[in-house]
Amino acid sequence: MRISTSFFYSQGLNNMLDQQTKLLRIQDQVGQGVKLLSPSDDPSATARVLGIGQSITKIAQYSENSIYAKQRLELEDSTLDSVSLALHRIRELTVQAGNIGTGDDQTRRANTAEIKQRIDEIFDLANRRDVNGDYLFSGYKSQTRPFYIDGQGKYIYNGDQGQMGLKIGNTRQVKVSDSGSDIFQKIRTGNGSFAVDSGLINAGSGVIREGSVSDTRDFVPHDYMITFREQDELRSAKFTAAAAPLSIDYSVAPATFDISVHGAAPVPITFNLNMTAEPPLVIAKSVANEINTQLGQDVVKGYVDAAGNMIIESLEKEGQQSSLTFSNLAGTAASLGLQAINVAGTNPPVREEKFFDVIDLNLSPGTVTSADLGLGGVDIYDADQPAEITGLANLSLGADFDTGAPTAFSLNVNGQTRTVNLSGVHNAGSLIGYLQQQVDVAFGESKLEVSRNGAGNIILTTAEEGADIDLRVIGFSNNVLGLVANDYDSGIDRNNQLDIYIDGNKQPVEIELTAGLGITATAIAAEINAATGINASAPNSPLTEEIVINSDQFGLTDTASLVFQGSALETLGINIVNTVVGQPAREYVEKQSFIFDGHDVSIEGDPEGNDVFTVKASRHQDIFTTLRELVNDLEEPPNEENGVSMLAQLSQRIAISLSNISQASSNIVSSRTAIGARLNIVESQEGQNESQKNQLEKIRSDIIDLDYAEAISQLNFQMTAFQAAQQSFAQIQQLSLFDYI
Amino acid sequence: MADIYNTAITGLLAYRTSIATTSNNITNVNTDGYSRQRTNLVTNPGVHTTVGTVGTGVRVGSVVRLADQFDARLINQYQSGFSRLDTMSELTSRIDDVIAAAESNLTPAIDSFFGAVSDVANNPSSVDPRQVMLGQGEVLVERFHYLAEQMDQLDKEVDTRIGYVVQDINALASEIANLNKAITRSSNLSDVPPSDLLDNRELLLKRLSEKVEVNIVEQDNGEMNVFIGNGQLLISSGNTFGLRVDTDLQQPDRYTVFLDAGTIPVDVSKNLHGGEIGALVDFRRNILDTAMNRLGRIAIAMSDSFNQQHRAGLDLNAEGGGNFFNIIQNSPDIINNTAAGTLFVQVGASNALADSNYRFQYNDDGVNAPNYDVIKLSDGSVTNFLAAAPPFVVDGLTFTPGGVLADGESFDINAGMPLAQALPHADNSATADIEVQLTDISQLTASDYEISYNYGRYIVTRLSDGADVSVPGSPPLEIDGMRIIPTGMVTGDSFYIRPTRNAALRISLEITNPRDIAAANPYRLEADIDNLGDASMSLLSLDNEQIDFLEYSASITGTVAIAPFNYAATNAVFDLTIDGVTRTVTVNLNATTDLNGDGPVDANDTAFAVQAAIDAAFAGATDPGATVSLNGNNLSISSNLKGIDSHISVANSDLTALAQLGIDNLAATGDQFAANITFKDAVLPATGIVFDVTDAAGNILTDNLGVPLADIAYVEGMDVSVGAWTVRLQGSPVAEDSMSLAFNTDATNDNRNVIELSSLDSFSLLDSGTSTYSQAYGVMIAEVGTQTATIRINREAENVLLDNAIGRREEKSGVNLDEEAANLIRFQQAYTAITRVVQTAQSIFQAILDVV
Repeated sequence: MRISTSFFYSQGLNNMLDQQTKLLRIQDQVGQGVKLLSPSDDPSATARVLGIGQSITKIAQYSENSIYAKQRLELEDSTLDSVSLALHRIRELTVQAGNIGTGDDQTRRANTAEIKQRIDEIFDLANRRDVNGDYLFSGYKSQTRPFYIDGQGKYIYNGDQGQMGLKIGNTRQVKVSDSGSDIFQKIRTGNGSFAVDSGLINAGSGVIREGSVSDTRDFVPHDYMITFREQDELRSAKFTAAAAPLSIDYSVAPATFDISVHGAAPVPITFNLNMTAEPPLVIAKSVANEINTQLGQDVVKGYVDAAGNMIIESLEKEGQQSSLTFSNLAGTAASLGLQAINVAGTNPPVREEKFFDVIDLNLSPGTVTSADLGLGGVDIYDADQPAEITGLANLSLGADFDTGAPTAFSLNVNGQTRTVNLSGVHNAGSLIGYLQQQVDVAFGESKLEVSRNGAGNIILTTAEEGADIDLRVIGFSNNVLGLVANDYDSGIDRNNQLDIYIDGNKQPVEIELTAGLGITATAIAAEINAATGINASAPNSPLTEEIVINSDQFGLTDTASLVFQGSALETLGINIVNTVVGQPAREYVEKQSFIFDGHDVSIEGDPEGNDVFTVKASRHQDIFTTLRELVNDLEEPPNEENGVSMLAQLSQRIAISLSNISQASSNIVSSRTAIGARLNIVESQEGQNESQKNQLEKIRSDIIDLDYAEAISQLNFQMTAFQAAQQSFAQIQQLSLFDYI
Repeated sequence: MADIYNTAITGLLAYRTSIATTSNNITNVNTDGYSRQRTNLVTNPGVHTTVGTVGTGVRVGSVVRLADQFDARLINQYQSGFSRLDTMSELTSRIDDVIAAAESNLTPAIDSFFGAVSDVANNPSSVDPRQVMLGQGEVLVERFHYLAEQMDQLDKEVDTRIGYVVQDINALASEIANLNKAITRSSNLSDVPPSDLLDNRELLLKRLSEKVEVNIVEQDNGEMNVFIGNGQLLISSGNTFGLRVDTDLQQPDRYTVFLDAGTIPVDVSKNLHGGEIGALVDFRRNILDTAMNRLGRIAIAMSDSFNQQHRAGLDLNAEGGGNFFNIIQNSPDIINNTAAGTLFVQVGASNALADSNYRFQYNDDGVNAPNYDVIKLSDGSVTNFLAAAPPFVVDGLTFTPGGVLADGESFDINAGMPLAQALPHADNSATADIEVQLTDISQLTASDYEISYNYGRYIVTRLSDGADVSVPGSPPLEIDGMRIIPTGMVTGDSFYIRPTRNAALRISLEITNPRDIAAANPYRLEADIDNLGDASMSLLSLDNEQIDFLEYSASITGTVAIAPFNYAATNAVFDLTIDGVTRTVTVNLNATTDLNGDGPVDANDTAFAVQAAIDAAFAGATDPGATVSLNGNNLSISSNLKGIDSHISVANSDLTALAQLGIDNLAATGDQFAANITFKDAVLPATGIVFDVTDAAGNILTDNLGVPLADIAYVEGMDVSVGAWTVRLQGSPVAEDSMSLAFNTDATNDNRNVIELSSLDSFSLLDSGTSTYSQAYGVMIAEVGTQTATIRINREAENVLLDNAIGRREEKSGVNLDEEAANLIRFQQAYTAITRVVQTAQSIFQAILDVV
């Protein structure tokens, strides 16, 4: 084939240029030390390198965050360490102060002074700032001083509960701060589950010990009261009259008698019962009511017992030697069966041993000894009823109703009061329509419906139904319509449940009382029996209208207990008596622990009757309150005159403070444990980050970094090739036939 | 004798021509487009004698040009292909270089920015790292700008180059046409082809092929017709149809190429495939646009997601976070429709424009008092203001008109969601309008779109793959993460949509004050310190759309009496205090007049009268005022000043009137967030713990379905939703425990929101939730890189083909000096030999003479 000279030249030139380009590229690679000069060299690798680079940057950032996290956590930890030391010292000083008792005032004062210093130290530590001036323990409110003392000397926390978090790994965040409230405030009192205390006016020297939880499954976080008593029958004076005659007309003459309660001077009572042939219960209640009214206080109650006897019983009880004395009976008093008989509460012989009761204050135990039913309009409300007021006027008489001069009365419906204006003379037929019109005008809408019932009485009915609907007639002096100033309330939608806890069972027997049930003792008792499944004996004579529910009736042991709960109690008017039924008082043995509801406590010393100890579920108390109370207790030392119980008080206070201080210490310890755990997390994450970073850097290096050995040899090869191209071009271009012509 | 002479002379003449041809070849050895020529010698007809034919010498048969039409065409074809790839390669390499270069790469800027965000998380209370974050944000924004500007410059350069190339094409075309004419003329004069003209034309055609792919049809008379594109005639014999560069009908900010053939100029740019011009068009459409769109998409995704999270936070001034980045939505585009006046619109940090555009219109019909309407275009709701009392506040936008306006003059305020660019076609009807909002960033593609209207149907084409992505139904059309709202389009109208093109150029920082960085969460969740249980709550979700808590305002709600009361004679008077500004409001309400003009006299008239009275009382540039609304019979008076601390109260004066208006002596504050959860024992027989959710005042709150949150049985792990928030309750509460959710004041060390912000770089938002910002950028780099590499390889391949073709032509038509030298020697020798013949003839002749 033939080759044109210019093509020959240009090809040679192109070859050289090609070689030159390749050479330049290798030179660039060597110069920059990278394989990939532009994305087009290896697009996917370039994208990968970008991703890897980003991950490396991210990890570097995490490492930086980790350093910051560690700094913060370490600062927090060292601060809490100081707090721990201070608390430890306070504990030592307190124990010392407790041991020296009342003797050495000077030492105690010195201890107290040091404790106060330590409190200041803790206070300063709680308000510590970091290098940036941020408060360590104020949560997110880093510029707000977390703790300060208010005017009353109370320590107030001003921070919030925020915990700052930092990202130290792709999926790992670590909390690097704790709020002051978690560390210094949220400290449980007592042993962490319950806190004990003794009554402030205890006469004996009993001191209750911290105690522990006997079994967490049994533990009930209620408040309890332990009351000491002498072993006696708690009974009130009771006056029993013979079966009350039903036929006597008590309206004829007044009854008079003198009554003396608990040995006080007799007070004359005079009253007229104004009733005939009422049931004994009504009479008994009326008599009791008269006595209470005239004495100006509730002293007795009246009821009828199972035998039909009327009973007037003193309300005094609980160990009082109550007495009730009637004298100088006159008038119809005698016919009531009231006689001049002195009755006193029975006092059994006092025994040597001390006894105490444990009373659950959250769940009042007791027996229902008496339920007042069917009196005072007690009703189980049906909430879905309209409120209604019935007037007294009898429209069926057909008379005209002259409202007289223009007059007015006010109606209040659910708090909205409107004045209804009336005027003119209306016959019975048009009166309802006229009233309806005037009421609508007053309210500007249809609030009330005016109608008449079969007896011809005017009835005002609210348009709305439901609980809590009020309807009132206010100030209607010119009462031709028979509408009296009256209130009607459709009632609170009371829950009609009655729960009976039998024998300490956690699950109550639930009884629902319905409006249709009828409010009779028999009905309710039957309902209770049906619900409990126990064929209890029929309750009481319908005569008495009382329910006496007694654990014996259920055939339970003598430790059985009955506990009633539920809003229906209020509805039913059931009174709960706070005594333990069938559960004998516990005998006091010093230092011997006793267990109730999972609480294991013991008392030492010599408590006296009526001394009280409390066992309450733990609450939160901040460290400063604990310490301030300690200082107050130490600064008011008992003296000789205060005697033995004051020493017991001090001992009790110090024991309580020590409990609280150790709770505070353990709270700080657990905070520090958490901090330590977080530090571990940070460190392990740092390690992970480091190794991940190394790995990624290696991968990146593999992708982009140049293999110098290979590149240099290629550079040499390329240079040689380029030189060869140049030389061959130079050689060949010398060849020309014209040279030989 | 004479015949010997004659014969010799023919030889001399012939070889002189041969030598001349050879020397012409030699001298043109480096002439572009030159085809070597050869002198063909033919024998002169001999003299027939009885003994045979006696030759009479030689003559020049022809001087031929050694060229092959087929070779030339092949060269033209490969030349077009090569030129295209060469230009593409050059342009693509420039993007390739810039996007990955250390100083312009986006990824390190993203990384540095998010590093700075992370540093704010480490120390949120300090201003310094915040300042750094703003600085890095600026760097990031600059990086976007730099990249976008590089591409934008490239775009402009393409425009310019298209212009130059078209000039070249036109010049070459007219030269070729002229040559066509000359060649025709020369053909008419003789049969001998005009080699030089043909060479010239061939060369020009090759040059033309460099610019554009051509299709050549040769006529019998030697003329050539040249077609470009899809058979558009560029050169017809001696005539050319010039190309023209003019504004693109669909994208008016660009140039395109028209062919002026016939009466209607045809846009041929889409059909120009090869050559430089093909490369320019192709590069712009398939590489540059995509890259710009991709970059813009990242800018939008980043600003939108970052803004969203940032708005969910609380800054150091205890104010809600505004937008951190600004792309489009926060600079309302105010279009002065008709007016001579001016309008200034200020957008609150809360970005009220999020869901609508607005129109601001002046009304002065000479009957009613001059007034303004602010029309929210998304729902058409109109808020009317008396002209006497600017500025006017609607949805967080403050409108301040200026200048002199006439009745009906209006302004359009367009903003809202990140808006896509939509270009109307030049031939669109006057009514055609469109708005394209970006609604779902994750679904956005890097493509441009075209929407056209055709007899009741909107046809949407995704230009990257040409797919028809139309959706049935009436607008708004939800397509690929866009909400397209066309209005007034008639058949034939079309718009060109660039969803993300300009975003990278327009992104900027909205925040300048480091204290405005919203590092904290607006909520504080706390358990009461006295709680005995260990219950806690955690914020499960916070509806960012609803959390715009600056929008909450204090309001007083009462029940208005059904019948309007007549205050016309004696006005109802009360004092209204809004954020410390107290005004006496005098309500003049005529019970028999239909004040609001809606027909019946009803509670709406009461509301209208109260609104008018409040407007009148608070008329004044700096007073906040209040908005009265009526929901059923519930009359609400809401403070126009919004925010956590806004408060409003009504006091004293005319108690009867207040009662009738349903307004009590009340005070309210704007804090709508406080909620308390209080646990208590269930009322038996139900057992366990229940809880109530109340507001700060102890009122039971309702859930999002309106159900009161009272006596809810507690279940561990349950969720409670009220309004914007959902909390999860955990742990074991006991009765009387309580927890609260409240506005987060003074939480300088709260870094919860900034931690969320710092995690956004790992958040896969784009491409249906599969790509982070950086990954999307990586994809862009890989795509451009792959394209560059592919083009480069194809260019090499095409180059080889072109070289081969040139080689083949050169093989035939190229001048080889050695060959010519040999020829020269050959012809010289022949010439010398003939000279000898003459000499011999002369000797013979002399001998004869001597004899004679």
